[in-house]
Amino acid sequence: MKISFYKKGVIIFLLFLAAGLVFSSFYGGEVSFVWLYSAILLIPVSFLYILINYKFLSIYQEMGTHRVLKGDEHSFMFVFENEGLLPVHKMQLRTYKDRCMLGDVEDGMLLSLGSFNRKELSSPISCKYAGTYDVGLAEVLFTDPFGIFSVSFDVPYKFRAIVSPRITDSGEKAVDIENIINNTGLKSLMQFEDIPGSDAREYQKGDAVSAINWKLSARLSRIMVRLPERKEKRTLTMIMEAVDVPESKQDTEFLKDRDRFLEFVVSCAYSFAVQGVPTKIVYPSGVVKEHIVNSYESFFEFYGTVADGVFYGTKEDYDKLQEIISNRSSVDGEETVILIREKPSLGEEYCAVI
Amino acid sequence: MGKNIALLSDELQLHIFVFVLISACLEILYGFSAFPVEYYSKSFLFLSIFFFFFYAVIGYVFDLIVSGKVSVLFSVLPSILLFLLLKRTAVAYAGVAAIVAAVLRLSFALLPKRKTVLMAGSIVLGGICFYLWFSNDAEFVDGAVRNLTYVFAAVLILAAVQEFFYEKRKDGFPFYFFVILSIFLAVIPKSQEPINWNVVLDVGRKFVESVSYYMPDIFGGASYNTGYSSFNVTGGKLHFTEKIQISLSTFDMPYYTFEDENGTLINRRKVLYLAGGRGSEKDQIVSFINMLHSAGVNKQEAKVFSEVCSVGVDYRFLKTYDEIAPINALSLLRNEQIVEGGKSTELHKTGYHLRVKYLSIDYGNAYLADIIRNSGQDLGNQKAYMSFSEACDYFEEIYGVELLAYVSEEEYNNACEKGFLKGGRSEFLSTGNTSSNMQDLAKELTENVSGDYDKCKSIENYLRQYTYSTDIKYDGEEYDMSTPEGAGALAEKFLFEDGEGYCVHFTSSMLMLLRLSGIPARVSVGYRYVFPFEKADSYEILGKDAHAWPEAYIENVGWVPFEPTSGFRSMEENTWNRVLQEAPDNEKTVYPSMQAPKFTQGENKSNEEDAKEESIFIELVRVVLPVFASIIGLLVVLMAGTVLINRIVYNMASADKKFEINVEHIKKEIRKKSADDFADRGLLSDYEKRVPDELRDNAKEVFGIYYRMLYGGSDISSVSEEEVTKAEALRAILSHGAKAHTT
Repeated sequence: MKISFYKKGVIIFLLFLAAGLVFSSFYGGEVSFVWLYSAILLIPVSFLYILINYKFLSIYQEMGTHRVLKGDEHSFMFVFENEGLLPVHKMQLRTYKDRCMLGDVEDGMLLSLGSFNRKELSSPISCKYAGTYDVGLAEVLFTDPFGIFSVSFDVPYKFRAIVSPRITDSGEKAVDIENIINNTGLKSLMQFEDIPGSDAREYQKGDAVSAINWKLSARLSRIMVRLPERKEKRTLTMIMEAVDVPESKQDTEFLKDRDRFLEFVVSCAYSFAVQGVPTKIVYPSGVVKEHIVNSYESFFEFYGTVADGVFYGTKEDYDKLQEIISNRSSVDGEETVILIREKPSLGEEYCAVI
Repeated sequence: MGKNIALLSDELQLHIFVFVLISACLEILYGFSAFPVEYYSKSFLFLSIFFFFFYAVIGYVFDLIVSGKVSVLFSVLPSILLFLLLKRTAVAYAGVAAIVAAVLRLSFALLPKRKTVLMAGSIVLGGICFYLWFSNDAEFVDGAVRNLTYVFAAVLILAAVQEFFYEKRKDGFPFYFFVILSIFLAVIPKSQEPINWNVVLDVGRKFVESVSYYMPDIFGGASYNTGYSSFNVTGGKLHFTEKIQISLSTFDMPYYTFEDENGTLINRRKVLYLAGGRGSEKDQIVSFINMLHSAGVNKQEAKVFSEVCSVGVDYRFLKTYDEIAPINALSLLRNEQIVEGGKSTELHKTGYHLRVKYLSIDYGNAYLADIIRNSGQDLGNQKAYMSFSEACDYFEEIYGVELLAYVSEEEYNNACEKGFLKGGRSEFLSTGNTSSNMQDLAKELTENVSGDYDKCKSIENYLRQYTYSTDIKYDGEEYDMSTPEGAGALAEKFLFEDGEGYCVHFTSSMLMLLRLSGIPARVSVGYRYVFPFEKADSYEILGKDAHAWPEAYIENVGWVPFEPTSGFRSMEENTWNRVLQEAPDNEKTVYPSMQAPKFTQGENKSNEEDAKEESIFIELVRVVLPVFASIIGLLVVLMAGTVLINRIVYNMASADKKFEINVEHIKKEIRKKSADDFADRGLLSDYEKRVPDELRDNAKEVFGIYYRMLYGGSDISSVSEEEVTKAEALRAILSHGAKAHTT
C-alpha cells in the first residue's frame, strides 16, 4: 500500500482546517465544531472508505495462454467485482505499460463499480520483451473525494506471462564460426562423425547394411563391412552468463536486458542448428545445466525452456557458473567457448570468445 | 441489487435534505406568533421524516407494479386517510406531519432535474441554517435536533461542493461516504464554548518552565523577573512570570463572608502573606498574646481579628534555603518533624513540603488597630508579662489550642525576658546616609502624629499616593534592600525622581521613613497571595505573586506589617469585616406538630397511566389498521388497474401493435425463465436459442413475422389476426410453465 498526497488538495484541506479552527476559537456549539470535526475526520473517513472498498474488491485477470511469443497479440481479460455495500468510485487502473501493450485498457483508466456489481473488460495484449514477468494490471489506485491523497494497492493476483523471444538473426554475425576460428586460429574439440573408411572386416550381426562393401564381399565370397573412420567435426560451447537479480528488483531495464540476451542466445543457437554445428549451451536454470543443440528438434526443445528457464536457484549456482566461466577457455584449443554476458561490465564485450 | 443500493443512496440524501428543510422551516415559522407551538417540536419533525420514509417504502412497492410518477402519486394517497384519522386524536399535529411529508414527497418526485436542485438547494439550505444561527441564535427545537441539522447541512454542502467542483457536476462521490461522515459527526460531543487555547498555552508554558527550572538562568539584564528572591533587586522594569512557585493546600474556605450595610452577604477573598527566612515566629506570637491579654481581649473579641489556621506549603519551581511560610507562623512541620529556624542548610527544591500552623491576623480590623494604637502608646508602664502557664491558659481560652504545642516554657520565658526585637533596635533603625530630603519628608509626615502606629499609618497613607508601575527604567545597579544603603538608594530614586515604582520601591521608602522617624522597621520578602473564590484542593502561587512589604516594630505589640504599595489593596480594604456578635438566645422555639394528610396520589397516578397507555394503544390500532388496509387496497387497485389498462390498450391496438406487445411479453418470459442472464443485443436469435425445443418452431415463426413487420416495408401486408393469435398462443404457453433453454 502506498499513500501519496496532492499538493493542491493538501493546501485546500489545510486552509479548510485552519478556517474551522478559527471559527471554533471564536464560536462554540454545533455550527462551528461540525466544520472543525468535518475537517479533522475527512482524511480518516476517506481512508476507511478506501480500505473497505479494497477489502471487498476482487480482481481477476487472465490470458488464454501463459506462453506467448514476444510481440504477438492475445486476448486478455479483467474481471472486477465489488462484493461490498459501498460503491467504488473512479478507481484508477495502473497497468504494466512498460512491458506490455493493452489495446482497450489504458494505463490510468478510471473504473467505477456499484454495490455488489461486477464488470468485465477485455483487451488485446502484446508483450514487449522476452522473459518471464507479470503483465496486465499492476496496481489499483483510490482517491479521496476531495483530491487530498490517493492510496494505491498492488493487485493481489497478478498474471505471469512467459514470453518467448523471436528467432532473429541478431546473433548470427557475432558468432560466425569461420571468422572466430580464422581469427583465433583455434580448432574445436575433436568430435567425430563416422564416415566409411578403408579398412574392412567380416560382417557381424548388427552391422549396418550400408556398411557392407559389396565389391569386396563378392571378391572374397563372404560379406565384408567397411570399418568407419572418425572425421573431425566442429563443436562449440556457448555459456549464458545471466545476471542474478531478485524478482523484486526486476525492473524494465532488467527486462530489456533479458530480452536482448534471450533473443541473442536463441538467434545464435538457431544459427548453429541450421549450420549443423553441435552447440553445447551452458546456462543457469535453477542449477547450471547443459543442453546440446544439434538439430531442429533439440533447438526447439531449448527454445521452449529458455523464456522462463534462465534463473539461479541459489547464490552457489551463480558462483558455480562463474567458476565454469573462469575454468573453461579456448586458449589451449580444446574447444571454442563463447561467453554471452547479459550485462557486461565496463570494458567487457557482450559476446566474446574466452 | 446494485440498482436498489443506488436507489437507497439517493433516498438517504433526499431524506437528509428533507430533514434539514423541515428543521429550517420550523425555525423560521416559529418566529411568527400565529405559528402553533406544538409543531415546533422534535415529535413533529421526526414524524414528518417517518412519514416521508413511509411513502418512500410504499412507493418502492408500487414501483414494482407501475413505474414512474403514478407509483409516487399512489404512494402519498394514504396521507389523506392519515390526516383524517389523526386529526381527532391527541396528536393532531401528526396528521399535519403526514400531509407535509406527502407534499414534499410528491414535490421531489415531480421535480425536474432533481439532482441539480438537491445540489444547489443543499448549499442554499446550509446558508439559511447558518444565517438563522448567526442572526437569531436559532435553537432548532432542541440540542439533538440542532446537532443533527447542522451535521446534515454540513454533509449536504460537502457532497454538493464535491460534485460541483471536483466532479464538474458529473457522477459525484457515492453519498454513502457522507453518510458515514455524518454518523461520526453526529455522535462526537460538541462543546458549547469556543476552543479554550489557554489549556494548550498552559501546557506549553509548564513545559518551558520545567525545562528552564533545570537550566541556569543565563539571561539577566534590564528586566527583573518576578519570583521569590533574596533582597537583591535591580529596581528596574518588572517582567511578570507565570511560573508556579508554591502550592498551598488547606481545608479552610478561601474567602470571608460578611454582611454589608444593606444586609447583603459579601464574600471577600482571603489575602495571605508568606515570608521567607523567618520560620516559626514564636517571639512575635508571645508578644501578640501578651498584648491581647493586656488589652483584656476575650475569645469573642479575639475571633473578630485573629484565628489559628493550617496550610500545606509545597515548593514547586523554586530553589531556596529559606523556609517560606505565612507570617505569624506557630510551627513548621516537615514529615511530622518540627523545622527550626528560617533558613536551612539544605537547598529546598521542587517537592519540598511543609505543614504550617499560623496565626492569621486581620491587621485591617479597626478594633485591633485600636488595641495596637493604645498598646503602642502606653510605653510608660512596664508591662507585666503573663507567666507561661497563664499564657497557655489564655491561648487555649481564646484559640482553643495549646500554646505548649508551639512554644516551650523556656522559649516563652526567653522571649519575655530578652525582648521581642532580636538583634536589638539599632539594627532596625539604621538608615545609613540619607539625603536631607528624605529626612525632611520623614519629619513632615510624623511630627504632628502621636503614637508609633499612627506614624506608621501616616507614612503608609502618604506612600499609597504614589503611582504603581512596573515599567521602571533600569539604571544598571543592583540594590540590597536589607541594607540601609540599598534601601535608601531605592527610596531616594522612587520618592524624589521617578515618583512611580512597585513593591520594592514602596517598601524601601517606607522602611527608610519609618527608621528616620525612630520606628524600628524591616523588609519582608515573600509572597502576597489572594485566594480565588472557588475552593480548590490546592492553590498555586505564581512568580508574579512575589512581594515585598515593610514591617514596623511597635513596642508592646511586636512586628506589624503594612501595605504601602498602591497597586495592592491596603490592610483595611482587605479586612475580614467581622463584628462582635451577641451571644445567641438559648430559648428553643417550639413548633406545633402537624398532621400530614394521607397521601393516595400514587394509586391514582398509576390508574391514570394505565388508562393513558390503553388509549394510546387503541388509537394506534385505530390509525394503523385503516392505513394498512388502504395501502393493500391501493396495491390491489394498482394491480387491477394495470391489468385492466393493459387489456384495454391491447384490445384497442392495431394488429401490428398487438403483435409487438405479444413479442415483448414473449421476450420477457424467455428472459425470466432463462438460467443465464444474457444481455439483450436486440437479436431475436438470442431468444430463439433459449426457447424450449418443442416451441422453437413456433418461436421462429413468430419472430419471423415480427422481423417482416419491422423491416418488410410498406409493400408487405401488415400482420393478420391469425398471426396475432399465434403470437398470443406462444405467449400463453410460455407464461404457463414452459422452461426456457440455456445455450
